[in-house]
Amino acid sequence: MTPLDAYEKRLARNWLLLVVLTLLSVEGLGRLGGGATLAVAILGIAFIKVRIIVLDFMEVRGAPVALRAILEAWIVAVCAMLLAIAVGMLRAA
Amino acid sequence: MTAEDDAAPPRRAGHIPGEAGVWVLILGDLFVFSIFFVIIATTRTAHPAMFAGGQATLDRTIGLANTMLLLTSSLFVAMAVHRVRSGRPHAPRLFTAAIGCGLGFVALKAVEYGAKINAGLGVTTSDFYMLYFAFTGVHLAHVLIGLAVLAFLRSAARQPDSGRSSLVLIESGASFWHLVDMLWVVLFALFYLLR
Repeated sequence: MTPLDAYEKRLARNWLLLVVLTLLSVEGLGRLGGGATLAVAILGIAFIKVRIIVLDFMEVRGAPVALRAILEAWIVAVCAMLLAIAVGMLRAA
Repeated sequence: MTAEDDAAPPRRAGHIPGEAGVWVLILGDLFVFSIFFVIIATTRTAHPAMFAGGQATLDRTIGLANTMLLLTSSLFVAMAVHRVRSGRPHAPRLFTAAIGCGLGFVALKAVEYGAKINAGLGVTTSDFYMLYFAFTGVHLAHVLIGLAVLAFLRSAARQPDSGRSSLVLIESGASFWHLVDMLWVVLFALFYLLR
């Protein structure tokens, strides 16, 4: 098999981080009970994972600033919104 | 928070990965799925007992396996694109591995849906199930389209020039596949993990 170059090793490290974060979020279920703390952990980890996929797998890290800004803003906005709903700060109409 | 944040110098600063048009599609899809995510979270907050009841019947092991399959497929796709771009070998093989992971996802989804239907659980069982089947179903449709795209990218990478003349196309298709992966990451959290 062709040995991995530096770029590919970095991709592999990011994958490993994604795997670890996934296992952490599944594991967190047992330890955190329910409620706001769990919601913050689960959703926070989910969107950290999304950010890794966007910046490193999708290569947005090297994209024009405008595209990166839109995606980073989307990540923050959606995560914040879902958190607010999950902890009951926003009520359904 | 990523491994070696900004450690590697940007190879081509300001490079859009793929056709600009595919990013219009991706951003549009993100917008639509954001609405789906809000609907799921809102339903959960408004009807916690009903939602928890539905969640308890989900198979978290399958959900976890599916998450791992898509994350791994994205790794393979990202590596394949790099191989095409840099002229390193075996890009088609990496696309094949990604397709294999995607097919695994589809197979597990079939098992999962089949078990639900056999247990008499369907779209009309409860609001949770309606959202679950509808939104994971739409996502599954994206996976199927994505698999066709990956097969196309693989054939491009098999050309005599190893796909270099199709690099923009390959980057575009790869970006779509990563979208499919990241959407599942959020769906997995909302349906399977958020108690």
